[in-house]
Amino acid sequence: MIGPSFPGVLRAAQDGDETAFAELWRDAQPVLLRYLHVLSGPGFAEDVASDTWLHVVRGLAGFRGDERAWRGWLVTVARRRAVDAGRLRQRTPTVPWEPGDEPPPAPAAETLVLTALDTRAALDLVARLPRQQAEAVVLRVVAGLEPRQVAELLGTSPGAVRVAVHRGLRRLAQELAQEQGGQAL
Amino acid sequence: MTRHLLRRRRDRDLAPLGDPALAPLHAALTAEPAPTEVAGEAEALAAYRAVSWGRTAVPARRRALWRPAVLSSVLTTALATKVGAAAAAGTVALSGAAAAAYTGNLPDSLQDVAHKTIKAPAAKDKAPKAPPAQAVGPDAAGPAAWGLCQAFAKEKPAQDQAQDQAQEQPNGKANGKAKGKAKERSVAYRNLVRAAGGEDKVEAYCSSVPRPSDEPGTPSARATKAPKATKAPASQAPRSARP
Repeated sequence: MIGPSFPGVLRAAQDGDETAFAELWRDAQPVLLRYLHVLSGPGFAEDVASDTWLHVVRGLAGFRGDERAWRGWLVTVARRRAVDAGRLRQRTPTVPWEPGDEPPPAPAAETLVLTALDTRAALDLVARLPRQQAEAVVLRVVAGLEPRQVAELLGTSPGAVRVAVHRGLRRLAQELAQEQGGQAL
Repeated sequence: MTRHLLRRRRDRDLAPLGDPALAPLHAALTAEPAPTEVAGEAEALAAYRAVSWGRTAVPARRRALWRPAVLSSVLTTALATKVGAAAAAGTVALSGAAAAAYTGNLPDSLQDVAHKTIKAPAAKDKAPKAPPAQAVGPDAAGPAAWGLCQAFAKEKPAQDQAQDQAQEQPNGKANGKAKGKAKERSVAYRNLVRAAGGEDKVEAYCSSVPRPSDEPGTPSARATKAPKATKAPASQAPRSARP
């Protein structure tokens, strides 16, 4: 997050200041890529993010809001671009981590625990959650959106978002704890 | 304090992040950007620059920028801009041309086109560039009589036009539409009529004009004073009058 200087940076970017726009981009692009990694898969994240910025640049002059609203707008555009491109991740495991049900691309949890957790590997792990839980976790933890914003984006209630995030995180913690215990033995 | 409690309540869903088992995951999800995550900055700035400068969309997508469809779109936009500029310049030029047409200052061929398209005055209606008084025309009672009669008898329309051009358009440029009333306005024809004693007597007059022995078969109708008109013999003028 850019912080207190965000209003000035945004205003400068809207007035054509490239440096200001670069600051906005550097702050938000990793968030978009991580969200899209979970939403669309790593193979499409970059393309969808580029489409997203194209639309954002076109609408930049008309944006009004604080930094949290800015983030919310970006991920909203990104999600729409992913949907329009038909690049929502197809795999939506309803019962993740059942024995023998692990998707091949995901890294082994023990590997994640024993080594410094790579961002990409962590995103792969989150992507194994049910889609709504995965999206809610990324939008809350990575993008820093409020439950209300996530609820609007996902078409649900803030309460449902909280539940989804809580359950998703608990499931991840449980899995990682089990793997840690297994490694300790 | 109240705000802090509200935030804690609002963020209760994030409470599991306090679990030590999730610490590596949390750290990885919120880690500083990897170089690969900010590698497309130049392309994003290019798109931003394009939109800021020209309000024209150029995709920031690194790979897609050079895809044919995207490149075609960018080029089409650029071309449309140039075409628009050219059209604007053309509008200005046409405005000037229209003004020239209505004041009769276009070349004859263009004036004729303007006459047909925008009802500007016809070339034949233009004010003559040389005062009519200066164009005396051929002497129909003298050595030019034979040529005038030959032209009158054989190529009346062509003669009319040639004479009209010789007298009214010293630049020799053609006006293929100036045949109708041109005959009456032709100085050479008027001279011939005058020499014959009337329009209905021209044929009779011509029948009495002897063929000059020194210039057999050559039209002798020449403008006597209009310098440029003398360059175009009456029998050749129609040829040059055709586009």
